Amino acid sequence: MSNNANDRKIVKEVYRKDFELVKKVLQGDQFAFGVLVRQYQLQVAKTVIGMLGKTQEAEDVGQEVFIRFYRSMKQYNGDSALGTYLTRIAINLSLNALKKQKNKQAGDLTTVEYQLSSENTAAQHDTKEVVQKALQQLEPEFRSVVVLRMIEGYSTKETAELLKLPLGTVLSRLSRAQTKLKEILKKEITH
Amino acid sequence: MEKLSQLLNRSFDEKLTNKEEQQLETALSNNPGLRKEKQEIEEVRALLSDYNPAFEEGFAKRVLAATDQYIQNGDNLFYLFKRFVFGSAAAIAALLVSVYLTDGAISFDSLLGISDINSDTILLALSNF
Repeated sequence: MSNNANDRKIVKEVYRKDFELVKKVLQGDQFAFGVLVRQYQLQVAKTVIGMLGKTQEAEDVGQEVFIRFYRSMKQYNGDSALGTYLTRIAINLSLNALKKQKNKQAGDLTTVEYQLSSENTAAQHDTKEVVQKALQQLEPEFRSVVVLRMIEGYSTKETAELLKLPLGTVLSRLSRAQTKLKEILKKEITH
Repeated sequence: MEKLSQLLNRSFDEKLTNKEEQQLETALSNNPGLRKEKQEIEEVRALLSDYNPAFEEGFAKRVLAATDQYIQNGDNLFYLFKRFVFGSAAAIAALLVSVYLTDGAISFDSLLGISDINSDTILLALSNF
């Protein structure tokens, strides 16, 4: 079997397993729902924490993603990856949460640079925190394309579909976000 | 240089035309600054793709507890709804039985309570005003 055909078979097998789990949950099997949550919580975390930062709000939104999914589970028919289905809910809830926020989370560029320069050694450097702070520097519309494309690894076409944006808009935002992130993270990547 | 930077940026997410690809390849081989920029972008993207945050410990348990609560509330609401529906149905059934026992028939007139009224009764009532 060719690699592509084999990959498609594996992907379809994953969809089938997810769909079977969902059917069990719909029949009242809460254990199956627990399996689903544990399986996909990291994927949802990447989207929600990427968008909202490591905050209590991110935790709340993360929970809401799975609760919304639970409520709308009958609509899932297994024709797409469950991870993508959850990511769609996650990105929409995250963008809604950002709209509601009164104050921007992002500090200015100089704040990030100060914090980076105050780190003493590479061992003390929390890369995760650095990336989180860099992401918060971006406006939500740029942050969302970065989270989906560069962190979650969706293609530009999938990113456009998830955000319901034209492909050209996604490409333009990715390019601009990339340039800005390069500047913000310059100290981190040039050691 | 700015145009080449834009081309380089785009190359990471877009399919360049053959002409653009050749242009970029030539520029990268001749331009150390552009090669450095490419390396920086690759490092930024590597940082982002390695970014792996997680929710606080016990997240799955909290989600399950929240959905249990949701199911319970949903069950409570359904239970109340069922009681309301059955109660209403019982009340309507009792009314129909009562009408039948009183009038010996279930008709629209008997339900409205005007089955005993005829035109003479109406005229008599009106003449008393």
